[in-house]
Amino acid sequence: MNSHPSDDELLALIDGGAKGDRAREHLSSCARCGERHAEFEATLALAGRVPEPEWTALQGEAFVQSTHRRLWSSRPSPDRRVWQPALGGALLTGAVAAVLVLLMMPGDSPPALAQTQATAPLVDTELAAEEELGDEQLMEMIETYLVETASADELLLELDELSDDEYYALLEE
Amino acid sequence: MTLALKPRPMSHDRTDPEAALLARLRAGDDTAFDELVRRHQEPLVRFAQRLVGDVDEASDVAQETFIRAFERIADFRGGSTLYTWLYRIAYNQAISLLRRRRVRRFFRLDQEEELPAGVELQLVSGDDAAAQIEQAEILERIDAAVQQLPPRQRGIFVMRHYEGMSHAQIAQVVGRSEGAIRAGYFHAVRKLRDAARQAGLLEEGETS
Repeated sequence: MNSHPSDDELLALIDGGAKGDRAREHLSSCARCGERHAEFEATLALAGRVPEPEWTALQGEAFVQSTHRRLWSSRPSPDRRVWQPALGGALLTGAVAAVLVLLMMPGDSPPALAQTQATAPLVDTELAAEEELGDEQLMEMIETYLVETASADELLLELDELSDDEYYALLEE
Repeated sequence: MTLALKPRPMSHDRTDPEAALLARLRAGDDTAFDELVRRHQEPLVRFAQRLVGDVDEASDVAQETFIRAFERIADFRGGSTLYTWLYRIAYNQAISLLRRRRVRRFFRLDQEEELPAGVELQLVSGDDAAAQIEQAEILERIDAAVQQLPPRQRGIFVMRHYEGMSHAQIAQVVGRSEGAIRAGYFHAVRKLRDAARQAGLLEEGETS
């Protein structure tokens, strides 16, 4: 056999792909490729010896409880689902009645809505936006940076930011 | 290595525990959510931790995965196992987190993530304790090299090498062809080999 197998052929041999058959034959007569093959095997063996992350039964139980709380903190509980709409309706009716009474009273006018809002605590929208950064916003941020700095190659290398379609198309070539 | 996945064909048989759980989730049974979490949390948190590196962030990814799965259970058509579907959600969550992290890092909003400082790699013969420490350092460095892989390659590598998933299963999780997954895995292994070479981890005697 004349040509040396590619890295992919050597890896297919290790990984169990059909593409590795040619490499298997070649390795019996080529020490250099034998070393390349051994390097891949050694790399995978080293990675395979990295200990599995620990996860104890105690951590597991705490995780179940906190996931439960997190789910139901953003959803009304079954009981609340029944009485909450009724309570909401009653509160709304009361609020409308109070506003009407205030409007009908002579003299002082009710506080302006804008004033009420201005004194309400502000949500940290910047932080919220950062946490909720979606792919589209992320790409916008990157594009802005590219335009401003013109260092596209450096950024793309750093961020691995081809789109999924571009990335997998490259892999499939 | 590794947790081998045992994929099962989707079944609507109520005696199949997964199908029964699915039916309860679809019926809005609150206790079914806890059971879903109990049943799948350990592999999912470990998977997430292999991807994002940090146990707190991994727990966050896994929690979000369960909550999304519960909220979108009507969207689950049974084209894959429930397990694979959960992996898909977790994978997307983790990739999204890694990308945000890389952007922050690029803009210097986070501290740089660095490989551990260089270590002497010659094993001390006859001194088991020292050898063990050095072996631990070697593994720490190879783990750091895995953590340095770009997000998508890291995801594919973790699923293939640590989770023992087939290329076909990974293709289902990622939503791409098996060929692309195989190529992505090989890319990742080549990068790891280069990193291991550079760190002197592949010199004779280092891998024994």
